[in-house]
Amino acid sequence: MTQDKKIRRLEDKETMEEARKLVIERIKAASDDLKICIGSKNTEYSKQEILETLKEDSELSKEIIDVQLKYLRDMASGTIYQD
Amino acid sequence: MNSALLLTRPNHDIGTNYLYYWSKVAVNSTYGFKILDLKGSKANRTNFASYIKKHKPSIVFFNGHGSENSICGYNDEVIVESGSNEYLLHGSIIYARCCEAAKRLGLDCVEKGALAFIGYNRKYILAFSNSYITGPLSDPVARLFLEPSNLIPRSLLKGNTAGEAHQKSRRAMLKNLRFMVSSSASEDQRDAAPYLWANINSQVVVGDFEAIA
Repeated sequence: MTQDKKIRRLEDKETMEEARKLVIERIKAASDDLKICIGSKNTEYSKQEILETLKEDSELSKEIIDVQLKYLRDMASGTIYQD
Repeated sequence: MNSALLLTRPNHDIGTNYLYYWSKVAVNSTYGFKILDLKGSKANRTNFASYIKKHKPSIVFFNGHGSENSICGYNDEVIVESGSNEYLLHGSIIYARCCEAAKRLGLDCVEKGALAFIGYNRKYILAFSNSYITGPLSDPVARLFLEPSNLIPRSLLKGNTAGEAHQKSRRAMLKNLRFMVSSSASEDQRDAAPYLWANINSQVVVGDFEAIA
């Protein structure tokens, strides 16, 4: 592996970790009463269960991070206000 | 094809129970369509195949869990699957309110003769308020997700094209999203906004946008 690739991987990992922390803080601040159904089986998640999921490196954890980050990016760019 | 809508609505967990109630209020026979209702445990593979073959419905409205190559019924029994029985949907317009099925199954259905497939190319997310799980139709959070998606079957029944049904639903989701980010929304509703935005971005039409049931 070249030095450049090594550096890029480290940066990606750091960015992912930062994103995870950000999403965890957002979920912590969210309503205790809100639940979501996502995925294919036995799929309801409370706030506490989402927070537990976010500690893991699972497909669901990545999905929730993706959803939250896209929302934040699109809010910031104004995309969600366009038709 | 016959002027009929086949509805599948299992209810074996909280998520499917929400869809069970909300899908029933989406459809009625006002517009001259016969409504074929596979509810609860009736939403199984055998009944599905039998109803499709017998009634040849022009609209099929699935509710439940799914994946990129399958849609499930009661107790997550696979009722439609890529490479297996997707040909049964030949000639129909399909709306699949489930995860990811538009990614591959939708394409396969259209390849095998379905007119159009409306669904989601990522996970479908339903947010709801824990205080309302015994009364899904009164849930002020779930309503913001399910009323707009109910517009799809309703529009198809009214004679709109698949593309129009998709657009109407998308516009209604956007309207709800703007409410959710406003100061009029409750805390639950505001916190659910990222999930509705995800559904807005993953809802797609595969096949003929101009198809009419």
